[in-house]
Amino acid sequence: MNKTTTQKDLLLYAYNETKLLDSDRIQRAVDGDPVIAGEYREITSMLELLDSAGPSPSEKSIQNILSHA
Amino acid sequence: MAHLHLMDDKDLVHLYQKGDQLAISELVSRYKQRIYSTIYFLVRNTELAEDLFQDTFIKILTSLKNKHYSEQGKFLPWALRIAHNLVIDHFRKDKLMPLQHDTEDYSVFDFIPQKSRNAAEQMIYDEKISQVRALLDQLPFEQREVVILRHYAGLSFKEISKMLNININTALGRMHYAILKMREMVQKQDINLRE
Repeated sequence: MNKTTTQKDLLLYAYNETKLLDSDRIQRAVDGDPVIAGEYREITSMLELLDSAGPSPSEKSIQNILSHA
Repeated sequence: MAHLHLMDDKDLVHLYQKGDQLAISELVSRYKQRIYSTIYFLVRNTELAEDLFQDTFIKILTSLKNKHYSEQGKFLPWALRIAHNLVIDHFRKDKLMPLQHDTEDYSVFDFIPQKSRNAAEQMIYDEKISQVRALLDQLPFEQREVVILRHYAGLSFKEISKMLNININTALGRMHYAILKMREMVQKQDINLRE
């Protein structure tokens, strides 16, 4: 990991929370440094794993809520 | 009212306060998954999550009716703060840590919209869901909280830091350590990252 791109930078970048100039800097670091690229891949693969497990409420709960509206 | 799904939260709140029931239906539909996921992964019990989810929205409805909602804040962070406070109140009241789990025959993941899968694919999918749930369960509460609020609730790290009254670097640090721990568990348990 180089001095200008930290794990926190990569996390913010993965969640699209970096400003345009920072995004450009981080993407160049990912493209140009295999260590950073590996770290970024690890983060995104964990986030993809989390994507697969998002639950939803039951329809009954929704109807109960709307009956109070 | 047509095109409710195109309206922003503030306008939907105004419509509801003027008596339009469909406006609240749109807000529920827009945020139900994020709010429910947040509650579920904090309490890890389907029945309790369903109850707290309903309590959250009933409190939201009461606040909106009584005009206690400030437009200065965004709707979702405000709604999640209500949900989070109800979860914390529940733990305080019962002096419990979130250790309860679903029973084997009744799981929150039954409610996940199912893509069409054949039996073999469904088995692999179910196994993966259960592995991800186990990964989250093994994280320390403070790390799990940040993962849930960022990943499932969709709050920014800045919003999370405000909500939990912590520094943004602390929020990022907790997420970072959660990812390291999950990665370690994935390697130990040989979990396949691809569906």
